Amino acid sequence: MKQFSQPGTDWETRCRKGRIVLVDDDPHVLEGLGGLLALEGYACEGYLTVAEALGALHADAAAQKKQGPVCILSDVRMPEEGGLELQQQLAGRLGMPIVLMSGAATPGDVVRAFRAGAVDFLLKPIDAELLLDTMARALALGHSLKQDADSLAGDLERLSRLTRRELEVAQRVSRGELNREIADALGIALRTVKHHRAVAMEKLGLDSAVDLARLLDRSAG
Amino acid sequence: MQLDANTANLITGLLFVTVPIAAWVVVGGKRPRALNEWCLGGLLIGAHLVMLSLRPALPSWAGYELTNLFGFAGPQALGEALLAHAGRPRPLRRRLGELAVLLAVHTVLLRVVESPLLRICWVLLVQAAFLARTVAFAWRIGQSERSRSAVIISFFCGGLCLLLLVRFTGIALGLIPPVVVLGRGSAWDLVALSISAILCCIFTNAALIALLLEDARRYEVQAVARQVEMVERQRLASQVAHLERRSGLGQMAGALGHEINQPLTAILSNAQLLERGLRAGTVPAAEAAEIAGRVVHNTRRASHIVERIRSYIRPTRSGSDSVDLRRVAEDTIDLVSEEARRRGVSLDLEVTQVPPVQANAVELSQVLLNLCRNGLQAMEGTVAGRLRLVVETSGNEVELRVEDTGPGFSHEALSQALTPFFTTKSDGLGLGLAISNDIAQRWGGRLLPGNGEVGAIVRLRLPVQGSSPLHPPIEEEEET
Repeated sequence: MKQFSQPGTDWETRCRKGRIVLVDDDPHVLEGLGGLLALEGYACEGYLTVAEALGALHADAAAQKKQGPVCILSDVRMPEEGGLELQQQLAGRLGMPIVLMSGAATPGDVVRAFRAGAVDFLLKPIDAELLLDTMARALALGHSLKQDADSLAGDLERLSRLTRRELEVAQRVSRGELNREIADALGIALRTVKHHRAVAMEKLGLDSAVDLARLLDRSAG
Repeated sequence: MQLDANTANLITGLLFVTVPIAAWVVVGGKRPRALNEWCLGGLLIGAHLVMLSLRPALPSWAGYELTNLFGFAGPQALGEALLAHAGRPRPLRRRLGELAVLLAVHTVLLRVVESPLLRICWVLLVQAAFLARTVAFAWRIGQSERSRSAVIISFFCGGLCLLLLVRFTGIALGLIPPVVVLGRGSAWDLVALSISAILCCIFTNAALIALLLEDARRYEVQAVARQVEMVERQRLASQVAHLERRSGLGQMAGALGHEINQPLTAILSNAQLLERGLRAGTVPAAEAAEIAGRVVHNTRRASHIVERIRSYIRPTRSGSDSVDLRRVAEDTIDLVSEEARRRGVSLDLEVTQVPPVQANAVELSQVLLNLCRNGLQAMEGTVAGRLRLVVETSGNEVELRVEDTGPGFSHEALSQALTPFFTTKSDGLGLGLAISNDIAQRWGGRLLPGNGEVGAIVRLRLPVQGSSPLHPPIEEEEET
């Protein structure tokens, strides 16, 4: 592994801007592309094989949560595993956009890459402008995916604070049921319903039934 | 009308003597065996007839034995001429033996049995049989070669044969006196026989000359056709070789396209890094030099690849050099490494120091490239394929071996592997190994396809430079 950096900014700062995992079997290509990305202020790590890159990604999976956006830039044709295999092994991992590149891609490779959700497919040789644009796009996507994931995690965490009864009341409220209807349905007093509802709103930090509905909708999806 | 049988025989005999001589003289030059036999046959028949007419003046052995020996040998020779023409001449000993037996029977009938009737019948029968044989041979030639002349020969000989049989039947049944009676119109059959013999002599000799002329012309036409065919085949072979090379080039271009993209990517990204870094003022001089060094290195790499493609396209020079097979093998491995990588095949190169061979390096690298590509293609669908290239000395030959871990040659494929246009690939021309073999043979070597424990092994063996080749090199035809 090689970390590409430029004097002036430390690694932590770079990681907040964006961390790029670069994979190519050609060390000179690695140097060139890594240098360009580092110059742009990204934290770029270069790997010569897919196995190495995967190892690094799995090792710091936990640490990533606190870091900035991450994306992968990998060559498709390499002696052992290529970019498509890397993509397969990362399938389903949230917030990890992948950009593939190749100098001899077949249409089949490109189709496979996009079907598996690649952000883009760059044809070698790659112009610096295009490279930086694409990486910025991929990181932005990574960022928004990460934010979505973060907010979802927050929602779930807040919902977990409710008691079972409070959650039940909140769900019925969000479906638009009136307090009286809820009381009848659950066989409890109207006063008790009002109490549960107030506590739930407070615990979730919400003001209106509309916000409650939105939150429950989001966390259910 | 009065006819002297002896005079008739004399005239006919002289004609039979002169016409073949005339034919023989007219043809001139290098006379085919068929003509010699035919003329000899005519001459013998002529001699037979002349001696027959002079019998009273000859001693008994000449008048009977010698005369009839000629009478048998003549018609026999006619048949032999046609056999020679058809390319199936009979050995002389058998012919002489045949004659001896026939003559012995004749002598027994003459001296022991002392029956003129049986003797004459015997002579007529033998002559008719020989003529019938001639008819059959001529007819066969006429049919197989569509030769009108041969049909004419069979027609006239057939007529003569028929008359001999008529005379034989007449004598045998006692309708015709066996001994020739002079004049008195009683020898009507002899008249017919003499006239038809004269016609037969003239027509068959003319027809034979025509047959030989037809033959000569056909031979010339065939020779020209062969020449044309050979030239055409050579042209086609060179075109096909070129085509094969071009189609190989197409596949190669795809693989090399990727290979050249790799240094180009390194050049572009490093150059842009340098440009941007310098502009931003964040690249120290030492690092800038390093980046520039990478650009230079990769530019060389790219131009090396281009040089390799070019040397592959360059038309074959006919000259020969002292070639180090080790270098050829190393260069070829370079050329196929990309394809091997794409197919997930690992390449092994095992080379030892080998003496040089006398050959053309470009041609040999094509042979090797072809063998390697065959190996790679054979391993299509094989898991963890391995292509091994070995160069070593074996006696006073250098052996270059390409081994793969594919399915190997099938029995049928092995027996025909070097045959042009035999292929097991759906898109192959089936010329790769055939052309490779041609090239190997041109340098006194050979190509040996075979099977190993796993997969196929193809060996290219070439004599060490300066050693006498086991298989003398095939001389290259001079270009015109």
